[in-house]
Amino acid sequence: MSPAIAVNDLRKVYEGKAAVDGLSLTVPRGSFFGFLGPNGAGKSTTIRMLTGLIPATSGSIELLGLPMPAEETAIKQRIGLVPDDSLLFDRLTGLEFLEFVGRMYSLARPVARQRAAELLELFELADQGRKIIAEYSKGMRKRVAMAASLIHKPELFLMDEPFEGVDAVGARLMKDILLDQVKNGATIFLTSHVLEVVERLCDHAAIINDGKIVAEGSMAELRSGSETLEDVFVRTVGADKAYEKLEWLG
Amino acid sequence: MIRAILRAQFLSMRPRKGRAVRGSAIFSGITGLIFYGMFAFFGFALMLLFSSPEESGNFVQVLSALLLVVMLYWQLAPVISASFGASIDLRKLMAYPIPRHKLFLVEVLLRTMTSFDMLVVVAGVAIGLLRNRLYGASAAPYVISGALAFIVMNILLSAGIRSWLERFFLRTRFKEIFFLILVIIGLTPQLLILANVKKPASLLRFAPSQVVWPWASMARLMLHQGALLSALAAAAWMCAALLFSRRQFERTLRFDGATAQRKERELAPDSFSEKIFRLPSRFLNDPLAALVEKELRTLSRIARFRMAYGMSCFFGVLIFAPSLRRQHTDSGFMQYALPLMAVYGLLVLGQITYWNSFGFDRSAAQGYFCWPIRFRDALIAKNLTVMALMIPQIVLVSLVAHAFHVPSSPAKVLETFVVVSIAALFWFALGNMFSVRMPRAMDPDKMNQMSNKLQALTIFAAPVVLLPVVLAYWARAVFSNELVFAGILAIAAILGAIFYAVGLDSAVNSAIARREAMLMELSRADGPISVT
Repeated sequence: MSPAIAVNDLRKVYEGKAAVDGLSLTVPRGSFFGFLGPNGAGKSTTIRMLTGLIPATSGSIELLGLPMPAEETAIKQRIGLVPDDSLLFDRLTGLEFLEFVGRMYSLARPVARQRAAELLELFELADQGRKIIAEYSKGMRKRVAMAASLIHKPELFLMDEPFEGVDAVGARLMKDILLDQVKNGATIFLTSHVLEVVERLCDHAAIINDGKIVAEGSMAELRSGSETLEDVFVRTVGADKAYEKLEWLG
Repeated sequence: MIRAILRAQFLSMRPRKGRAVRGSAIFSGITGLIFYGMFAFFGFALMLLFSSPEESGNFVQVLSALLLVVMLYWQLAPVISASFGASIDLRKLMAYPIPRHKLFLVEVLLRTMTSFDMLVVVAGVAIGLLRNRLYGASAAPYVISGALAFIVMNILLSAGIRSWLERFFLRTRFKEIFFLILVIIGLTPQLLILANVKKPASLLRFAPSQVVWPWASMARLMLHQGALLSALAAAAWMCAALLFSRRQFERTLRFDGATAQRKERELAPDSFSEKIFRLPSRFLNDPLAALVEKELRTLSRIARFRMAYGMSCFFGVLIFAPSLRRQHTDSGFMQYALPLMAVYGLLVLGQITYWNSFGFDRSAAQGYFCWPIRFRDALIAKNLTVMALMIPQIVLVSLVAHAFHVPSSPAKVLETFVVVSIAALFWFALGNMFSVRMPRAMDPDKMNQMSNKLQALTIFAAPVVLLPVVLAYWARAVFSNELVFAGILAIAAILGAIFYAVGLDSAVNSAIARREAMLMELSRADGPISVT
């Protein structure tokens, strides 16, 4: 079976500077894959290229065995997306938005409506009934976004910082749902700054720095000896104590 | 500190590189030239008037009336067009330890920058008086101090009104009605004509010119009439404006907008609207039906849209009222009055719909590229939504027009539907291209919309874009033949369809090619100063 994600020599260049520089990556089906890196390393650019939001300068992308962008529509039909930026229409209620997204994925209106109501219940947002999304807190917005990514039961999830701004209860709920999805055969590709989350959830991970993959493998392979993922991350990416240079801050 | 705020704003407004952005800058330059050119022309005309010694006898009355009109325009035009220009965004600056008086000073400076059109007009008057041999250089201190007093008072007053309105719009559920009332005040001349006042200009004779009125005191100071008393009155009005604006600004600083808005955003259960929103699904398949439904729900929950829609239904009649008054019901003008009013409504709606289709979607517009739908469908759905909104609009315009004895038989209403649909093909084609090439994030809460400059361009471009429809009416008038009229309309419809298809293709290709830049523009956050 083809991997869920196969990226080969992917590049994205902005004004002569490579944001993603020859990235090659394989994500097996059914895996929970963490994509880590410091700010500005190229995580969001990569995920935006995978979703077709921005075109790659060069290289190839295959999702679920289909080439991107040649089979763009077929691929989009099978992936669930939680982007970094808000993908929510602020003037709709949660229920209306979820139904709308379901219909974008070709679900019949009654089916979309029913799933939307069930997802709102699952994400503990059913009591927000008549409130438009503009009124939601950041955590509630993330929950709606995740609910929207589930509505068409995708095979592959692409998630950019899905737990950002979500409280502990909400994050726990979201993690349980995602783990359940993986158990049922779905693949999850997520970026996160919270290394503990990645360590606990993911079975595979890659670390990107300056647009290049600097470490990749299963969690066991990445951690050697008593090292935590944070130790590996800091060692791989490198962090100097720059603040020591600011005497006034000392 | 003030310089730091202005610099942060400058940096956040600087254009990004790229051909499309350069095109946008050139376009903005042209529209700016047209808009400010009109005021420069007006200022020049006033300069000629006030430099003429022969006219000096009436100057007190004329200048008082003129300053009254300028003051009304200065204070009301931003309200009517819902385009207040740049203003300080307190939400972003309140967290810093900036003294309040400095924030107020920045706000006043911004008001000055956005009053450039009126400054040109007042400068025209002042230069005219200085060139007038009856006044000349010896009167310069009076002319200049009077003009400055008028400018300062208006700038302070507009800062105060803006602060008050900002709170008002966040608080009240009746903002549209209030807006409509203000706009009707702005249309007072038309209403006076409807009330059978023959020469509205003659009403200016009745403009109060006693020294107690702010415009009159400043006019008298400029003209060196009772200088001491005029100066005292002008100073008193300036102080009052300062107190008002400072007080309003302070109240805005203490205002809890988020709590006030929360009440607004709870939707009442409404089965009737729900039925209306579901209507597109009866005629269209998904994704078009879902997209149109989403547009209807979104627009109907934006106060600025509701107001524009109300305007599109009623203002056509009010604006064309002076012309209607002078016509018989069977005259040529009356025959195309209804389509003209409906097309005017279509133009009004354009300001917040098809000229910047993705403005309210903002960062959510990325969905159109992520979901398994064609981007073309998103544009078509947005256009279909406007057309769906035009149906009740035309019915309402017809009813209002009927009340004014404008011919509005079923055949005339049908003709109006056809004409509006053809006109829409041309406007939508242009609107789609603008929407993807020059997208701009719009904040529904800030009541912002298309700039005054773009509005001016729309008015100028309308006769050119609507030429095929205009030709059909011209042919009907010349040949007095309905078949000729229908034939030319059919040709216009074919041309419109071709124009729309080409425009749509161009917009879709452009959106796909430059989706990254487009989404970046739509996600762009304001700097410390928000432009509305």
